[in-house]
Amino acid sequence: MVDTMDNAFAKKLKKEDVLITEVYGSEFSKRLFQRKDMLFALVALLLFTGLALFAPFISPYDPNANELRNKNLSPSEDHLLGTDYLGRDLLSRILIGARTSLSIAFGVVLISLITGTALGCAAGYYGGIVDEGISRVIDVFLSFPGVIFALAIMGVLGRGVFNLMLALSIVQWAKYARVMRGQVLSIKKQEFVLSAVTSGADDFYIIRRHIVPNAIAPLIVLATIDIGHVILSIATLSFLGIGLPADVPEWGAMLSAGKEFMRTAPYQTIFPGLAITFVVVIFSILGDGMRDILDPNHEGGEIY
Amino acid sequence: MSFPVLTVNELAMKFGTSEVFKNISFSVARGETLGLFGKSGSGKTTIGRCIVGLEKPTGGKILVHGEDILSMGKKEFRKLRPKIQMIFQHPETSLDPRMKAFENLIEPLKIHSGLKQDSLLKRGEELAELTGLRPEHLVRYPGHLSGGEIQRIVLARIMALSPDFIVADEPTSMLDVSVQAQILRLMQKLQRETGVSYLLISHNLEVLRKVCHRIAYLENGTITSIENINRGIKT
Repeated sequence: MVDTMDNAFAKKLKKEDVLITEVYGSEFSKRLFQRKDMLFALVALLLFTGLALFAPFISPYDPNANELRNKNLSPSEDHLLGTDYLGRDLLSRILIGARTSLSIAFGVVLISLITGTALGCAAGYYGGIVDEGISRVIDVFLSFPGVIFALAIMGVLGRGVFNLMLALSIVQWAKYARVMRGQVLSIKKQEFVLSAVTSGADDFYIIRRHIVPNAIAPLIVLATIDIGHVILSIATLSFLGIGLPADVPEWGAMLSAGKEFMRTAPYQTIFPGLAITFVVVIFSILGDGMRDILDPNHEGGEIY
Repeated sequence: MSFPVLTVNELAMKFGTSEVFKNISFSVARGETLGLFGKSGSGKTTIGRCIVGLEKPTGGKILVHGEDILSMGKKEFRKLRPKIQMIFQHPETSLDPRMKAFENLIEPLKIHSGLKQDSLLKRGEELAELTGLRPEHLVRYPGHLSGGEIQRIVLARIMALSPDFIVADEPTSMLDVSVQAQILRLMQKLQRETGVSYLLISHNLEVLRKVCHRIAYLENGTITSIENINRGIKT
């Protein structure tokens, strides 16, 4: 066979041309760079993440230093975004607050994504009693309104960063599991999966190589958009006074505190509100762009 | 004693109370192509899926080289699986859209052979040659290939497992007439070279008469007759 082989194969076929692992990343980035809005959102996100990471070094003041004689100051050279009702510098608190909001949001989405993907995949792939069991649990979790459910959990667990992450993850995971289950149910019947089954591949191989890669795109989009939603949920819980302890600067809590001075010092709500809006918009753009990039049928789509 | 490659005995299938087929019995010898003709919805595909283990029949036996696959354990059957393969009807969903054609082609080798990357490339090239594929086909994603090219890749990936028996479920029904002929000729060529047997499922009697050694007629959920076509089996 080898002797009669057309030399064209030996000359033209190189592993980097035919094996996906070598080209996956480059195809993705090529399509990413074609989207100007995605690039803008990515740069903005990097900027925000950088500010959050280096917040302790670039904050002009201690975010928790009470200076009552400076309370409710309007934006000025000394305090670029003004001060709050305890005389704390708003810019410093927004910078440190970015750290809190972004890290909790990433943590919650990551935990929900991993848990939801694993359980949704198991339910959809194995079906039967596994599906029945997991689906009923998903139904229970989805039947509660999210914020009220998180409120109840926080009521039991108490305030704190870890407890907040846990409460929001418990609220969020079921959504991912439901989407994943639906994806797996449709993909597992496709002929390329059946081909792998008849080739003798085991369940783990099929799930890892065919099911998850083909099912994950909507979940990545969901996760990207959800980061914005989680930031809003953190803000909501803090606004209601049960999110984070008072000494942890957080955008929602700042908004809540600022509402008392809406008429006299509106900037106390405007600036944290702008920060929340900005991050939510960034993640919405990213989610929208990811949906297009990961959609195999999207115009210009090549690999996905 | 030499057994037929495949023997199906009294196979029956029910979905709830509705009976799809019953008393299905036939055997296929090495190097033989048995056609299975029937109208749409007559249960042809379900018979094929039972043979490759994608459906569990409600009655009967399926013997591969004399061994009943329905009484085998999951592990034992997985070992036998490479020997009984299936070509599916829809080329557009037969390959993983996220893997290049060549990755799809060599997947069975990755699962079974444990070959290193260079050996995989070499063996993949041989299989591509065998099925008349060109290098430019192999570097594309399935969405950029025609139905005929995909069916060649499907055949190449199946041949990677050196099967004894292939269930071909309407393998050409979604293809142009000229491409249909190419794929059928390729299947015949592979049969001559390797001695593989086929169960060719189709609702197109003309196609079956061109390539089959025998044709089983499926009507009202049972095989009403098996016709011999005057064609010698060459292995």
